[in-house]
Amino acid sequence: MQSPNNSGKIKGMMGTTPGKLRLGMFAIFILAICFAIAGYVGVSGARSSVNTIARDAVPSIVTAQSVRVKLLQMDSLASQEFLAGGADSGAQARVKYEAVRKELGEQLTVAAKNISFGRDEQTPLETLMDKVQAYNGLVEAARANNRQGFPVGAAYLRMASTMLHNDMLPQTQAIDQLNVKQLESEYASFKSASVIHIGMIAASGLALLVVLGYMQFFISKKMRRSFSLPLLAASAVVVALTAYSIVGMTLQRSNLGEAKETSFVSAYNWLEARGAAYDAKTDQSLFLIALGAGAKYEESAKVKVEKLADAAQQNAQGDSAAAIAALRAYVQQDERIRSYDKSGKRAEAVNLALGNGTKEAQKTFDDLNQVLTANLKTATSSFEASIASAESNINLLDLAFIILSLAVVALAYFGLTPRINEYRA
Amino acid sequence: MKTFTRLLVAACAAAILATSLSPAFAAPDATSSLRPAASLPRPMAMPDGSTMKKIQDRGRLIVGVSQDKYAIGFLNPLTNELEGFDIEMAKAMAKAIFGNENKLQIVAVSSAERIPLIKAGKVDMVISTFTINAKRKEEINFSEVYYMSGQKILVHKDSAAKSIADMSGQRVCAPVGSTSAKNILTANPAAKLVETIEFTDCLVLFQMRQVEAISTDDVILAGLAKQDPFAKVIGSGFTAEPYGIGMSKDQPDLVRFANGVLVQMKSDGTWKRIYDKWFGAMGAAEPPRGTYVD
Repeated sequence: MQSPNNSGKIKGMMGTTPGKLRLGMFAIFILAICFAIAGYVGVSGARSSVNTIARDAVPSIVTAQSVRVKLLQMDSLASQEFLAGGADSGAQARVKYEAVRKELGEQLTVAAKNISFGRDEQTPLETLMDKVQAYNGLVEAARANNRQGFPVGAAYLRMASTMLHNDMLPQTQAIDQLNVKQLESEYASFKSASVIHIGMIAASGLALLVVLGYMQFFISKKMRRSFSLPLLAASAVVVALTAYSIVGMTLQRSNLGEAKETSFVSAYNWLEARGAAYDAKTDQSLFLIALGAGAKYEESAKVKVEKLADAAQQNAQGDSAAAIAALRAYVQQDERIRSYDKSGKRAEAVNLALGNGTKEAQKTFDDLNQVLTANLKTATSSFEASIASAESNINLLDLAFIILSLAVVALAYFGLTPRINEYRA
Repeated sequence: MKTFTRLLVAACAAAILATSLSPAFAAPDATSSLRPAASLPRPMAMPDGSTMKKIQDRGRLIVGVSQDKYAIGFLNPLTNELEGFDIEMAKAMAKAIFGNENKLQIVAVSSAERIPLIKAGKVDMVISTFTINAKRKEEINFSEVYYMSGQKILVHKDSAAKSIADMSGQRVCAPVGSTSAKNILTANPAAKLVETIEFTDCLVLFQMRQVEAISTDDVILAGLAKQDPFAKVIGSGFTAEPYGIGMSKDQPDLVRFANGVLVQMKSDGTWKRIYDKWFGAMGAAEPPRGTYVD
């Protein structure tokens, strides 16, 4: 609320030319500060959203998904080693298992360092770390019994796989969901906030431009002077900064949208597809280990293949056609393996599944895995490129708002002070 | 009147004596099967229209076995081959039809899957420690008894338990749907029954100390004990478990044929050779004699 005294002063100032000039300068100062604040807040908010999405939520989700894939890979290798018994392919599977176990340990360490939700994220991670130890213990028991020819080894392997699916994967899912929730909420608030921020920059820039224009008009009309160059320069700065920031922030919005809605979704789907591929391979081994009583593993493998096909078809980034073709080849060999087993040719089925002798079935799985990995890389690279563009589009813009707003103030001061001083004489 | 009473008592005593004699002289009971033909057809010359001829034309005998019962039916992980007493029985059946024991397709079955698979026609036979009883015979046919087992319990070596009676309040494991599971509660209703899919799942729980005992047929327990040096089998059998080969009710000719093969195996020393190979450590045994309903 303005006091009657201040109101009177303003009325008094409005009545004189120097008073109007002073008021104009004051209005420019205030609007320049508003412009600077609108720009700084808008750009900082946008940068913070990029950081939260690209450096926090998405990496946590990708880590959780990668941990999931590693777990499924371990399960697949453990079942292949078991199926191979004493064969060379079993030793190879064991070497790979140990390597994946080491990588999993490293990923869990990374995940532990990137906890953003306190206990909600820490608890599933701790549970997961404990269960990894227990899982490994069961796999070791399966191996030890298997090596002695004891059938109880298969029961340990089944228990390990059941524990992995029932107790461990849900922990990765819990971490994943926490971060997905944050990602969605951050992205939704970014989308609505960015419109407001762009609007505020445009509005404050326009208001500043109107006052600068009016003062320019006032000087040329009332004081019969040509254009004030400093005011003209200030107006040019405001126009340029407003236009650049609106374009930059709109592009950044689009880049982040591309990163989140296309590249991230694709990467997530390809990660899911890789997990489903390993899971399907595990089901193939468990089907063979179950010796004809593996109908549930056959059904389970079908579900995973469908999931994989869905993920491949829905993906905007990556070579979906190559993935579908590789999946088709894998399914063909998988059916061949099952058909051998069902017609009593178990040895042929096992050899084909493990890649002993003929490598064609194993090759189809390796090819599928290779295509999925390449597609994941494509989507991940695209995500990183979109994020880099989003960052570059608003690079140093917040600082530019502070500096250039100060410049506008200075230019307005230098443009209007000489005119005010003319009345002092 | 006294004479009549004496005669009645004598008749009852005779009847009791008759039922306590060996099965060969016993009256038909739940374990009685269909009488085999006087002679078996030659391999690859099965009678036209018979179930065996259909199997012969198919080129393989499909048999359901367990894969997790050490010494009975198990996959040897070192050789990737199925081995054990029941597997040798299955091979003998295949040899009788084809003259080649390898013309065999093995389907692993859990205890709960045995009857549904037979009824669905997915297997020709189930040879999987399958106890013959009246209730099961309402749904499927059985061969004559090929092994007489009894249910015992397996406990930790440091256990003070002497029999199933000592397992009150203790967790005792058996596969879901098995006769063993029902027998545990019949023998000791205070025992806590824990059910799993397979016998080896019970052994895993046992080794993790999540159950105190496993109870099932002696031969299965002997196989489990061989896989765990800290386990022991205790007590005497508290049930009689006559094992038979399960087959479809719609294929009586196959039942008679299987009985013919069993009679031959029991008489020519094959049964004894197989028994000694897998269960010799439990002591000598004689093959059970079959009884028939016709």
